[in-house]
Amino acid sequence: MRGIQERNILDQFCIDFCKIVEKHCRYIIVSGFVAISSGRTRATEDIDMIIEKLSLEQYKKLHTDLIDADFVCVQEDSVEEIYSYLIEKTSVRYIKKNQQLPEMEIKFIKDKLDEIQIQTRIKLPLTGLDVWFSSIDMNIAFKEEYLKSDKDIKDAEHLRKVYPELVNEENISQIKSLIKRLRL
Amino acid sequence: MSEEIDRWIKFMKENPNTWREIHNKFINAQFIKQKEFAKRILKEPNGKEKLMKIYNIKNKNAI
Repeated sequence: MRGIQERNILDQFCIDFCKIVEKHCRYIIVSGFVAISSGRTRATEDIDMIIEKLSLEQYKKLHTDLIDADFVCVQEDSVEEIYSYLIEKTSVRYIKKNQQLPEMEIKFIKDKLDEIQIQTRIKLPLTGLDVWFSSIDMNIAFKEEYLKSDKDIKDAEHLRKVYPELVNEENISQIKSLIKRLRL
Repeated sequence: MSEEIDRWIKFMKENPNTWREIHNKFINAQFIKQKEFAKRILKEPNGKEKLMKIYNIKNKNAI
């Protein structure tokens, strides 16, 4: 893993946040930050995270740890309200207090696809980050089949070229079929 | 296929010890610029409210 002096602002924010979440549940980092931490040169304001579904009591403990580490939810202070957003499948966003960016956008697992994403999570040594990512195949499938913006297509292209050894076309096709069935 | 992606990945592979420093500077630049911008906005009348509106921050205690 890389030394602290080599971290950029986004990396450090991600590491600090993940260290806390890790104590409470399984999580994955998905989408743009996977590509960016793998060398893609584009900007982003947020990092997307999916976490296991927690009870209110469990979430209160996680939220308290985040607050103690100087993170703050941009939507609400009330943990009950924040939890209700998550239960309603709305994402919640945390920033470092008094810093508007970057932000961590969290969602609870919402379906079988998210469960598979958590089960197949991986670490990516090239990123230099000791955090959990959704698999390269998952990221490529979501970007090519579901998100589809120019930015996402280029992210997928970047991931295919950086991690050819991790790309399994048959697996990507199966994930795309699941996306069609469950999300489209 | 994007030519700029090919070019950058080629650079990453040919310069495994230096690409990250360039990449870090690129990533940091966005946040450094944003922080400078936020400082300027906060000096304006109703600066905090403006900043909250710009970044869609509902929680007054967040900034």
